[in-house]
Amino acid sequence: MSESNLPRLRLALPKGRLTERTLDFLRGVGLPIEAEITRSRRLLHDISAATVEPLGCRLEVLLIKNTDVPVYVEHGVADIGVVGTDALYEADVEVYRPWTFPYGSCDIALAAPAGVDAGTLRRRPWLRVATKYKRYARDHFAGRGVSAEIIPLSGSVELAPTLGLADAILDLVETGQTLRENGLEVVEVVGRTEVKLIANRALSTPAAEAVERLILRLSGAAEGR
Amino acid sequence: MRRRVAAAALEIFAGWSYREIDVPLLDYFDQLREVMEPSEANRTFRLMDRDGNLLVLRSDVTPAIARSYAHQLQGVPLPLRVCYANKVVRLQRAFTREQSESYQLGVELIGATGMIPEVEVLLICLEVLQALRVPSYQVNLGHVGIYRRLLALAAVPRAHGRGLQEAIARRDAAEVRGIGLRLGLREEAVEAFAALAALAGGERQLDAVAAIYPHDEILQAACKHLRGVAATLAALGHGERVHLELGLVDGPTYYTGLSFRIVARQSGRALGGGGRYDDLIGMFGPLTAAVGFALQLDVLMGLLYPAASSELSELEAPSGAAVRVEPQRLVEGFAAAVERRRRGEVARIVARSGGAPVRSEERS
Repeated sequence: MSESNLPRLRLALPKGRLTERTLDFLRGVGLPIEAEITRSRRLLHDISAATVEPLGCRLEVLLIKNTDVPVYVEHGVADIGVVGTDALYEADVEVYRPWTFPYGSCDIALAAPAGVDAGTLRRRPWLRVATKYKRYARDHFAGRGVSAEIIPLSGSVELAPTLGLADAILDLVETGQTLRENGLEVVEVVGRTEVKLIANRALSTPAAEAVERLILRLSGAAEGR
Repeated sequence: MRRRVAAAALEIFAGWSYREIDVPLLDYFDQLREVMEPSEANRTFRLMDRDGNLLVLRSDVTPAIARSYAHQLQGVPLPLRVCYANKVVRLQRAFTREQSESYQLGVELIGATGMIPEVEVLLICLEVLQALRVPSYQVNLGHVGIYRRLLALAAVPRAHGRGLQEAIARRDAAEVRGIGLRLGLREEAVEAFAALAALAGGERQLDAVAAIYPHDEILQAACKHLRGVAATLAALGHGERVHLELGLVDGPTYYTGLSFRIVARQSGRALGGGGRYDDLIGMFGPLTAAVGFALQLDVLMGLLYPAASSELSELEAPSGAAVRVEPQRLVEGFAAAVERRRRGEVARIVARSGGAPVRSEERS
């Protein structure tokens, strides 16, 4: 089959903490992706040179904000993407999620100023929680019958309790360093986020098979770790 | 445009001998809730009537037709072929409260069992998609019976079926295996469910599932049935568009056998779907087999829009159609327009105030 007949896929990668790690992981499974991709300011890169041989498909990579990855994939602008289940839950999209990356997993936790425990929080008649994950927060508290006011923020959530904007925060916790430096402690781990490979629901058969070949390689590498 | 698309679909339905019917917009919630998934029920609009009964605005036409068949259409000769272009109201995403009024275009073939009526409705569906020139659509064909049989064979407790179904619907094989392990399912059962969650469906997936329980007659019959429908459609020239997809387990709960969903790359939401529902009418009246499908007109319009806007110019009145009407000579002016219409020609009224034409009219 000539190269122009190969299926053409577009992969959406989140800019930020996962970019380098994901690219390194892909390099590790035999896709020689050039370093150029993260150095330049261009947001769309053709990396077919690295994928034609091992995956039998041409591949374009686009770098976008992590919360946009599910939206791009749902609308078919990208065929596949890499995103955390936290952003996936917030986006509330209909996509397939055929594979889980072996890294980037972290806790979703409720944190409050040091000395405040779960009981104290629960006894508050009206709990104010600042978070970037408002859908998750709403469903979590609704599921437990706790009436909580969700204060939606888009960053620096740790400031909210210090400044009196909220009683607690609901956020991703990796090392806990940021929390400690802002006088906060984890009160309760309420969930866990994982990094998923997601896919549009209407991939053609050749495209879906190329994605399966990618998954096979990824799984092989993950088991060998 | 919307009406033209609906009209084109209804014409095709009529071409296959389907009669258009109308179903009520309001229904009692209590009766429909039994056939609805909680997540589906959450997306409906409910309101109270003056006696305090909870009513629901029609969110899906099929149960309404099943009900009207059970109550009003008893005694008509079967099979009964009906079609509709009806408005439905539902929240698209429960969280964002994105609300949508849309039309469902569909057909229901009531009182016929087996493969023949299923191929018939699939052909109608494909003809509509083809006639509307929908770009890059794909019909994913599955069979709920296969999944349900696997649940029974593995003795999965009902309460845990949901998580498993969601994981399969998301094609998350790792999650499927995780759930299987937690439930302590046998290895073959876990593998069967994981096979349903494979990203690329096709014959290969069907072979893989069938090979796990080679001696289970119910499962083998369902696999054979699905294979037969797909082969028939392929022989009729639809092989490119029709894909086997056993992971299709998240459709309406009332489906009992073959089910399908129409997707397109550019659209996050499905264009439509259909399937066999042999138990639904039985919930309201005598047990009657049925199969049907519905297309979501708003999703179709979203896909067709670029093409549709270029066709819009065809709809504009030809330049000779302008009929000038002056306030002083109303009768003569309109008489000219009526005369054009009588000859079957297009007329467009241009109002003139005194001598000069009105600005806004001229611009349009």
